[in-house]
Amino acid sequence: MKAVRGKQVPRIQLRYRQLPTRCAIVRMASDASIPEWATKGDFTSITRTADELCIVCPGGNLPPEVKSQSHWVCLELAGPYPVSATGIIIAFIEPLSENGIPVFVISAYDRDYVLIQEEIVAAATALLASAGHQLILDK
Amino acid sequence: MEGDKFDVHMGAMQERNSHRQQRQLKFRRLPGAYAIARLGADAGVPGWATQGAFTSITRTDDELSIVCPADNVPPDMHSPERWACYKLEGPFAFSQTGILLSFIEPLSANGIPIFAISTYDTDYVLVQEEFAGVTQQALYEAGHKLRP
Repeated sequence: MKAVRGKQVPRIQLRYRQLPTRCAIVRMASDASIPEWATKGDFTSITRTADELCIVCPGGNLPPEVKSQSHWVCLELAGPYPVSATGIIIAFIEPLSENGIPVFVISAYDRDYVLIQEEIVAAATALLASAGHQLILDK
Repeated sequence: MEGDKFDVHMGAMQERNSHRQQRQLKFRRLPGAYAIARLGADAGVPGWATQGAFTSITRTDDELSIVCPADNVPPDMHSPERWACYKLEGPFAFSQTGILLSFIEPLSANGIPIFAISTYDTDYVLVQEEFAGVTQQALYEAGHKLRP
């Protein structure tokens, strides 16, 4: 196993699409109730931990008093893959992380989603293309 | 003197060759086992899905994906795998890149399937319980520290 560690492992080449909606990532207190606006739209993700309530939802949903630092583009990796599949997330985020592009990853049962800040999505797409990942228009 | 120079030279070479920054992260395992369940995209969020120390509910146009404590899942839900949930000790700013990569790299190198959930503060990584031992060993060997 050790012999094939790290960069020697050939990475999987994936297909992905860009969801049309721009997402916001909002932090609330861990005991906050889930606001109505957080659950509307074609992609939402709500995670409650001991420290925070983290909301990912369309940026247009946010009421004026709630701020989000950036707008994020949501990239949907083609799937579905079985939960036993390995090397998918790493193949996708490695070219981004190695080039200083922040990634926000949300695995779902069927697929993985990677959010990228809107202003650097062109650079991200170019890096993904160099790594052999293919942007597709529809599933 | 000569030896010192050699060491310095080797250090610089190793740094150049090690392509990516090696981070040493602290992480915890959340108590108990977690389930990952799938419902239809138009399903309502069940009450059991939102109870517990860590829950994550993602709705896409294909599915409603639920992560919650395994014991909360009713018996009629098909969710056979039990998962260990690891929390990276943050918080990390969004501008700090490579955190999740350095954590999952040793897992992928050992063929361990992962499920990742980023939050505003940090990242959570789930692995199936039967891989918890090899996961912790691989993370330890990569220099990451399990906190009690």
